[in-house]
Amino acid sequence: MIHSFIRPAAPRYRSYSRLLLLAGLLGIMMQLAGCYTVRTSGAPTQQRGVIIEQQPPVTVTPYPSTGSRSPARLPEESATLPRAAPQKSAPPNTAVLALLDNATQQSRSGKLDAAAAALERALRIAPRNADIWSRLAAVRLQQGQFEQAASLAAKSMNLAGNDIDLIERNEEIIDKAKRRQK
Amino acid sequence: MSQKTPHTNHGLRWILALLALALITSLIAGMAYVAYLDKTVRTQFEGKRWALPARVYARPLELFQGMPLSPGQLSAELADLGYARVEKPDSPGTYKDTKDEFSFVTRAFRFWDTAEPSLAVRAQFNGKTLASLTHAATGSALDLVRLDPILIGSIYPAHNEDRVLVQLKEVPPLLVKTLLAVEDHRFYRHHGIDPASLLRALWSNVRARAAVQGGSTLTQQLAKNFYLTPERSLSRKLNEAIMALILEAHYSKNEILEAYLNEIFLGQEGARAIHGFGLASYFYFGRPLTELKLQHFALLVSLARGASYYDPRRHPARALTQRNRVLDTLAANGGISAEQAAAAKKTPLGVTPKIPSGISPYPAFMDMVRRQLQSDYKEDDLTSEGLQIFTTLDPRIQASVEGALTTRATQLEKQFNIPAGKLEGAALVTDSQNGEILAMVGGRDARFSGFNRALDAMRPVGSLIKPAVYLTALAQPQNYTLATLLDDGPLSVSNPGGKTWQPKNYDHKYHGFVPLHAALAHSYNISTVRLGLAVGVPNVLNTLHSLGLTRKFPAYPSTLLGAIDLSPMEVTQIYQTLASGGFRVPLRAIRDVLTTKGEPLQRYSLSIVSAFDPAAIYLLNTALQEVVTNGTASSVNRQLPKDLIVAGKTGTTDDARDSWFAGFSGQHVAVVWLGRDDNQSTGLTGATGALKVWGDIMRATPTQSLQFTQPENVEFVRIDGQTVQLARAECPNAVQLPFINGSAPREVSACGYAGYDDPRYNQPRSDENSLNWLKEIFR
Repeated sequence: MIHSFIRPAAPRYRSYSRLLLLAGLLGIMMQLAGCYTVRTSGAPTQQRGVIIEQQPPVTVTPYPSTGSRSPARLPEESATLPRAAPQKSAPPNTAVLALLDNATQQSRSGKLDAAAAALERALRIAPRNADIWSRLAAVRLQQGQFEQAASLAAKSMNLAGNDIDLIERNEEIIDKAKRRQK
Repeated sequence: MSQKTPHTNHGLRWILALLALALITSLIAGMAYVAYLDKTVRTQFEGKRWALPARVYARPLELFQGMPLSPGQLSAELADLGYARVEKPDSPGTYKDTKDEFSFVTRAFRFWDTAEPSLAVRAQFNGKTLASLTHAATGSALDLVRLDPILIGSIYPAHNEDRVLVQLKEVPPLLVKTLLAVEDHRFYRHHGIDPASLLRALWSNVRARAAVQGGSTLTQQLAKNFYLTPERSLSRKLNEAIMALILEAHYSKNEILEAYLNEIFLGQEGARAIHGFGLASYFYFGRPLTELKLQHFALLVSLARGASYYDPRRHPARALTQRNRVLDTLAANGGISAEQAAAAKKTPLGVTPKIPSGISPYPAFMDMVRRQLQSDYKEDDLTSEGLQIFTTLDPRIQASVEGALTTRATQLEKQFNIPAGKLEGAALVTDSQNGEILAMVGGRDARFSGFNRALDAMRPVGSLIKPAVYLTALAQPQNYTLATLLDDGPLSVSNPGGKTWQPKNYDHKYHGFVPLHAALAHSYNISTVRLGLAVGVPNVLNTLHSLGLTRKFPAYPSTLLGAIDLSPMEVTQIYQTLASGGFRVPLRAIRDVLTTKGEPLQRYSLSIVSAFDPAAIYLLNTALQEVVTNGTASSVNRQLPKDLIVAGKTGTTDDARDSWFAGFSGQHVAVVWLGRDDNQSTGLTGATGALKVWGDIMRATPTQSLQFTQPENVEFVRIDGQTVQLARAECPNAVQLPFINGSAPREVSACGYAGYDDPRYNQPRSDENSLNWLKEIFR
């Protein structure tokens, strides 16, 4: 039984005969007593079904472009730029690693929303960790949220420094997102 | 005579017939009435019985090794959660603390993603860092521990009945035993009414000379509370009895008991009625039912008899006597041993001295939450469906913001001869990367739920708008760099109306030609207006929209000096985009919404928009950092830790009516506004007013230094700070400035330039010191 106070249990007709007997007796007494008060207001009497439809995740409508800014770097452009020696970002702490593991598992079992939630938790702990931003971008790409995927990958690029692997991962995401968006 | 007999017979027959008719009518009416009551009882019992207010929670505190957290902060969090301080923490919701070590048992809690189990944890501190986090029993390391979230408010229905539903299976059996012993010990044996019990109760009450036991069964009490008005009359008593029988006919004992446990009235706080044991437990003891002991149960059961008469806060002596009577009754009943009763009787009442108010301690933030919810949910659902709302509020940061605003406001009033109580303010703190609103204060009295200045005070922003002017320029590297010389000499602007406007600097001086970065750092007005007119006011407004301003404003030259009215919230959204490196993140107060059963309903997930070229933002933020190191906000360095790098902008409006500071560290954005509701002058500039509050907030908040990765298309070039020509390190005014590739000056200063093969030129920089350069230079 789950939450009997929410989902009502079926009534059992245990002693209707006794009730009937009572009814007759009562009819007479009622006439003597004259008045009665019954409160029915206070709470809705009808059980309502599911109250709220699942809402789509909040998204931001893009502002009209001013045309004065350059778009996020395109893969072919940045690939030709000279880069300094690879430089990995500092290893994340165990809390972040645990959340990343969790996100990977959720993602593998197809629970992409849960994976994204775990990654967002990780970002609260390590907001400048470019790897986490990139993983979130990958999840959004899988979910078909191409604009988000591209923005998140750009954010990751912004923090990636000289981490070539990561830059390439992000370029790939942006590339795929842009192509699928069209 | 002969006529008389038939007449008499006739009359008798009539009387008999009438009597029979009356009997039949009565019977039918009675049956109809019982049927009516039956329907009433069933519809309400089987329908949605209670309108449940939505519960609003703060962010859960997540603990992990190495996090910045002081023992005091953990202590405050546990206190807000109602954890009991004990000798030996062995059950959920208990803790023990020594100087640098905490042992505690967390409560199990169901979140959007997972259900957190209860854990026995040991946390060791090293100063203001959580140095280690381990299982209390085994000593093995714990990666991450999420505490249960603090309840920060509820959204109540109109009739103000409040309750926290409990299921029978989660109610401690001892509470049920105590309740039945006192109220209805034959509960499982009667059929709704119990005459024998009535007599026994009468007898024991006479013996004890007090109302120790009640005569009505629990079922009758439930019927009374559930369906009937509180008037005392024979007919009501009768209805109560019939309804009790109907309830018993339809439902099991356990269903009736569970309904009783949730329905019964157990206290009052202002207009809010406390119903059910689930809420009463929090109301009197600040903890869930499962964490209570025998003596607490006895007190709650006493309250079922007369919640106001035995109110432990108003009549502690009376409540104690009654509680002990309940314990005696339970012992006499065999429910507990005499020793247990004696031990429990020795304990104090144990109620929390502070009444947990139904009114949220964070009215401004709750207002924000409500507004966000109202766009997605119907009011009725919010007040009746028992939704669980998980918000972003960080009660620790909120406390420091409230403290900073209150303390500084009082101090500034004295210092600047502002009539006491006249200086008002508002402040917001957000996470600079994900846009979560961590703290919001809508006025000096943070507890007062009234005008929410954080959202609704529309005030001219003054110089806070300048970054939008400079960003518009810096996004055109072919035309503008940080080293572009701007003319700060006298300027007349002719307005469409024919009037001319002559902007003045705050110091009423002209500064000749000034490098762009210095004009922003020192907040020069004239050069800013010139720059804004050159790039175009409509383009500046476009930049503002890209930064996150949604409302439209007409493009006047005066807009360039902030003659537009914005709320602190709107300002925060704009600076959020700068703080996150040019990525616009909508500010959010809600993370997710769960149904009353803990099923996920909706998630407000992180969403970002890449709105600017990171290189332009990088240049702008470099100049905004200079505001703090060497510009109008340099006084804040006395308040901040030496190694904390921050950036921001002061704002002051005409006659010092508004004092603003908007700024950010690597982790937090904070915006503070000070001013008067009657719009009189305060004499405060952005630096002498709002900046002080801002400094207090940043000092009290564990935060990370500002740190931007140098974009690939940005290079550092050494120039002469005055002539903005290429220079050598040895030159007297040499400074290094970031330039978008190819935009650096080409003229070489008289002092000479080592050239592009100078080893000191354009060295790759690590993230750590790329933003320290200003501090080095101006030290």
